[in-house]
Amino acid sequence: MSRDRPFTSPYLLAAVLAVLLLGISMGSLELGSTSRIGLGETLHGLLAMLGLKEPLEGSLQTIAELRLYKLFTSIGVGAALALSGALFQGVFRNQLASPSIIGVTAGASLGASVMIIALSGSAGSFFLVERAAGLGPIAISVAAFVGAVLSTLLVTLFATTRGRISVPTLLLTGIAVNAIVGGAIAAIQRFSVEEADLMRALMTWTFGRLEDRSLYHVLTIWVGLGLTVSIIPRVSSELDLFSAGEEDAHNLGVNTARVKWLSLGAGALCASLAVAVAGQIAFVGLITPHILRTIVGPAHRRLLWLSLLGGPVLLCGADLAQRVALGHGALPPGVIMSLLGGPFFLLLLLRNRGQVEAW
Amino acid sequence: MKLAFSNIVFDYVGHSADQSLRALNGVTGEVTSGDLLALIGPNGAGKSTLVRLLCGLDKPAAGTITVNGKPLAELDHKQRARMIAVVPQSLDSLPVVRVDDFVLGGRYAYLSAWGGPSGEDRAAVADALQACDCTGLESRLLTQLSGGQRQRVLIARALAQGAPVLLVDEPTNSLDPGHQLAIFELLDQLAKRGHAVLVVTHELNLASQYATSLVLLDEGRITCQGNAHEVLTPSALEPIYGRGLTYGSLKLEVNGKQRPFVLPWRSPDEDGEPQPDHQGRDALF
Repeated sequence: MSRDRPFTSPYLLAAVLAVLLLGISMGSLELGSTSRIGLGETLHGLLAMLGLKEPLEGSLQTIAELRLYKLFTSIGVGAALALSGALFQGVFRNQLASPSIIGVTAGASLGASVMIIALSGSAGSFFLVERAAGLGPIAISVAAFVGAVLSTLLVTLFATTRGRISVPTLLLTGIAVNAIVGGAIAAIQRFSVEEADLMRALMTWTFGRLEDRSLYHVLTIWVGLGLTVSIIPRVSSELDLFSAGEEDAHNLGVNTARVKWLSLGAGALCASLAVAVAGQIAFVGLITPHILRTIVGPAHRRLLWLSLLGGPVLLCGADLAQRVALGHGALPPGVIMSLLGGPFFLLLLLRNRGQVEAW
Repeated sequence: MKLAFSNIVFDYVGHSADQSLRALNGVTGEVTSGDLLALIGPNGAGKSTLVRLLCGLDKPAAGTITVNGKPLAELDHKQRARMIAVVPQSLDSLPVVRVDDFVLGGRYAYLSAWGGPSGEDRAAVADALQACDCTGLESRLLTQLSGGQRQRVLIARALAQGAPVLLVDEPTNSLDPGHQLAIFELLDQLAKRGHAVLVVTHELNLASQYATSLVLLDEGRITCQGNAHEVLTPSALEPIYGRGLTYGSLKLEVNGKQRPFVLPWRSPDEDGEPQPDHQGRDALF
């Protein structure tokens, strides 16, 4: 890949993305599943939550809060998925690596599903409504993280031979993990078909869900995101040096094992918490870093930060666009992102055909 | 500055005992400031394995490696990179970066997590590019360079690292003879400026012209070491490369002294009988 034109300034792109995200956020707060309140009332509701104004009347305050929780969860999930994708792509030195392709989100999903079954009853309803009780939600988040970490370890160890990562093996391992998890989740669903609540919870998980979020969801994803963001300065220039190979980075003084496991751990944390609060939403982690890279270049000190804006713009933008187009018939976010991301992935494969063979 | 290695043993561990391979078996040597040490030997002799051990990529099963008397294993990653720089045989993949940004990667061991490159770092990059005759390539992309230019840029990055020890792994692979000479002249200059240079090479004649000493490695053991006159001899090389070599000597351009050369050229053997393939080729022409 070579290019003649210079890359766009990252500050300019950050400004454009911030303005876009602001616009999309305002649109999302204006257009909810009900037309009973608009942007003004929702912002009033926000100030009321902060204790700066009187709450809205009756159920209107609840509607405003749900809309705000959804927006902040969506922004957090979009940022977490995009950052996770950028980290995985950096470590694996390949644009095709993303948490959903290599099976990390699937691992998180399986961990969460198993925990939902284990806690079924009280926790089964966690994913449907905001009234989660006790330690259930935390247990589900932890289980999602454990599932993500195990699948990350599995694909990384399978794809590594003498310190080198084979991308074809990585992608093939991802296919296997996705298939195993798909089968396991289908089996779990088959056995829970008698319990409608549980079945709905698991189905919702499979397609992703951004509606009916609670403060717990917002806090979970933002705390995870905060933890991950704190490692960016420790891995960004190091991941740039990874681009010529892990051994080359070692020779330049990079503690490659630390950078690799820190990045993979942070990527797994982000992806798993996104799954824990919003279910499986594929391709945000694949598409966002790729688009950003074509605009500002491959340097991770730009890419990782900009992913925090690019992911939410993509996820919230796609959600808002389809809500405007389809109204009440809007599709779950996981479905939308798969419909957008699948063709994009094929396009990427088509463009990189020669390189995938060579690697 | 001295990089010393003593009684190095290294095994490649396979799935079973009979698949394991002893790649290095009791290798001892050193390279000090001003040395240009050429590590020669057949494919699979253990040359690149030794370089991997000397730069800390692998750890020896037995033996010690020291930098100025301090064990290599006791240096942290950045300390090691400030002492030992590696010019790899090739990169796993070519990053799409400008040459100056790529060479700036050599300054990683001096950068903090939050700060950008300092004026000193920029100056080190400029000096390294100049020393390797890469001035003018700064804004080019690494992917757009020729093989010879790329090799010089790799050496420039190692120089920017500011490390007194340079480990150079087969730098003339797939380069034309002109570029091969240029690369060895550059390594010679670096050694004369005080670097301790260890170069792995199959180019016996370039090693003969420029190396201060040669080490011949075969099946993980040093079979011969010394100056070119001592190592590039039929008694040392024939057991390893076979009898298809022709030996001679030529004057050096610098001081007029004789140095041996070795050509992969089958000559008539000692009793004057042409060897079969030689005869066959004559018959063709």
